[in-house]
Amino acid sequence: MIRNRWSQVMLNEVRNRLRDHTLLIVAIVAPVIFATITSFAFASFNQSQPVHLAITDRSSDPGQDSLLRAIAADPQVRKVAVVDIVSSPSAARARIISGSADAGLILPAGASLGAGGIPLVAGAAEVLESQQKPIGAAVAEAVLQTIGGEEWLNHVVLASLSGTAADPSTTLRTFTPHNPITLTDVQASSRSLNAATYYGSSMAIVFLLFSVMPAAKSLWGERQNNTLQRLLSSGVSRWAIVAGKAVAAQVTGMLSMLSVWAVTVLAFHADWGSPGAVVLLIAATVAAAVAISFAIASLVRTEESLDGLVAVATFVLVLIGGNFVPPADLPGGLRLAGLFTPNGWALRGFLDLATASGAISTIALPLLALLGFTAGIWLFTATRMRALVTP
Amino acid sequence: MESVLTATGLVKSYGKVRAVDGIDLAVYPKEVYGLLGPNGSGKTTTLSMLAGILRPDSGQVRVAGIPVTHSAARARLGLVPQEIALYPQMTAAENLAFFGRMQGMTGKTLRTRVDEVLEIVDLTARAKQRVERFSSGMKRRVNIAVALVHSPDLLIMDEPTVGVDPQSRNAILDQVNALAAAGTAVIFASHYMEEVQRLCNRIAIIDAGKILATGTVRELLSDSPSRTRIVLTVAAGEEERLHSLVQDLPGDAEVQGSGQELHLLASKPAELLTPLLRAAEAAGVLLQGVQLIQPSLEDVFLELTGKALRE
Repeated sequence: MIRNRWSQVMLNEVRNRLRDHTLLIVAIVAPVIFATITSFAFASFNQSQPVHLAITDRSSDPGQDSLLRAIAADPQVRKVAVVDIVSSPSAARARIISGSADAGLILPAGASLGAGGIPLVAGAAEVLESQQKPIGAAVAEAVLQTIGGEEWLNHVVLASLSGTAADPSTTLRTFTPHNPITLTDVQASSRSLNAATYYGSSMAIVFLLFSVMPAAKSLWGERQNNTLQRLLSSGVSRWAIVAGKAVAAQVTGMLSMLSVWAVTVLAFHADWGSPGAVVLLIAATVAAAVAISFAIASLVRTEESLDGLVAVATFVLVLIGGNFVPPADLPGGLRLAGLFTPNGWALRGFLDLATASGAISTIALPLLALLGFTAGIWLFTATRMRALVTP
Repeated sequence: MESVLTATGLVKSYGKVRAVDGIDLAVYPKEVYGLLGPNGSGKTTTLSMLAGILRPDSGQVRVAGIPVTHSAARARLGLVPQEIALYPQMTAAENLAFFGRMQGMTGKTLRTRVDEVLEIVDLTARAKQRVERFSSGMKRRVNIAVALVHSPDLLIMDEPTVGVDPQSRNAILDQVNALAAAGTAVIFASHYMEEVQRLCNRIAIIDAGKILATGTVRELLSDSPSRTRIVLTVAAGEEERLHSLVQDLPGDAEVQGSGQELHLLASKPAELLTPLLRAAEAAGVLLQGVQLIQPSLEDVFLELTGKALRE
């Protein structure tokens, strides 16, 4: 029975947290509210608004618009764009300026659809780009690429345009075949990352850090109640006390993250990847956060100092780890620094899991990194155990 | 008789301050051993080392011959801290059961013992109430009960009656007496002289981290240079005659005070009283009152430390 003292401490901790409702609030209520708000906030990121294209040609004959109509009716184009055939390049420009179109596509005079659906084009196509909506021009270029194929592209890119449009809000530029966007089908082996998944997991880590990092405060509760000295006098080791409290924090933290996961999946159709891998990654992430909590607690003498240091550490970790700004958008130095944060690795793991095959093997490296962080931090805490658990 | 607890050469310093400075003591079964000293004298630090919570800089503590650092030793002692050491959101029974489990107790043995201890502290009717709703006196009783749940051989009590109403204080002191009578050795630290005098078989007077004197109350008083105080009271107008009368008394009595009440401090009061009464009768001085005040532990403490006990 002596061996199970840590579990008694853990059960006592859980019971007391249940009794004062903190477990319910931290593990269920707060994460559900948090996940719901976050998912609603970022839901618009998922709704891909179609790009509005104004297309025309330089032909003066409105009856010769077979190619324009073919583009407008093309199923692949319609997946990403709403195409309006307008009477002239100036009409296309006017549409862009008024905001009713995101970009313009101007085919050369005489462009038409030949026998067998082959585009007949002599001259260069032009793309009118709105500086406010550069994605529109990219889609217009991709449309050209998709409709025409390589053979047609050769026809299209025959000439270059000179100068820019007079209106500062639109730019006329040459279509080039080296377009970064292609309207090809996504391969079956890979999955796209939706915003609910990205922000769900990212914000879940943030929430976890804020909710679990103060876990070691319960040691101050024991001090405040004077129960710590009673526990120590009854022969309970310092490790057993810390282990019991750490496991209780692990349970709370996991419930908290699992709640966020459940809400984003069930209510907002987020796809975090294989459930087994997600649970494993959540467990490793929470373990690292709990370890940090107790390590910080071993460095301070008062509860106020703990609160201050935990807040600072949490903000630094969140910023460096890429939880507020996606790692890809961070400067190189910060991206590198993110590799030294457990939450950075956790985020990487969740993103890998969501975008790749979803298998556990996908997250092997992040898992190893998180376990390494956890072990290293606990080793440090072990050297400060007497300071950490002193009445 | 073999001691339940022995401490030898205990020293503990905090920075340059030596809180405990070479304390030796031994406590035996059925004995209530008092640690009497003012606040800040080193009592709590000493008790923390005796309970195995605090590691001494030097010296050692053994409980039933086992170093107190071993869990087997700590299983044989119960600690009643100076402050209430309970989980306020848990009931009295839950607190007892939790700390019982911490001592390795389980199942029916634990449940039975919890009931017994609640009975001892007269809280059976309140067993299922949360401690946070208890009065201060009731909390004190649960605080003691928790230390008893595993039937320890040694009970270490640090100022267990601080902030308690007189009724609860009496109940607590009676419980301590009953425990000692049942065979438990008790270390009872207090700065209340009357409690220590009432309860303890032996007393150690502690100040500045050192034991200044130790023994039974009788031993401490007889070994003390403190003198008996004889208080003489006369009617108005008799003051001068009383003063001249006491000046002529034999012995080394010291005269204090003035007016209608005079104090004589005498190391051998019996030898002084007879000549005093005869002289008063002969001089026609009508004594309205003669009161003998034996030296108290307070006086002994004052003699030993030069300061009052409640400083």
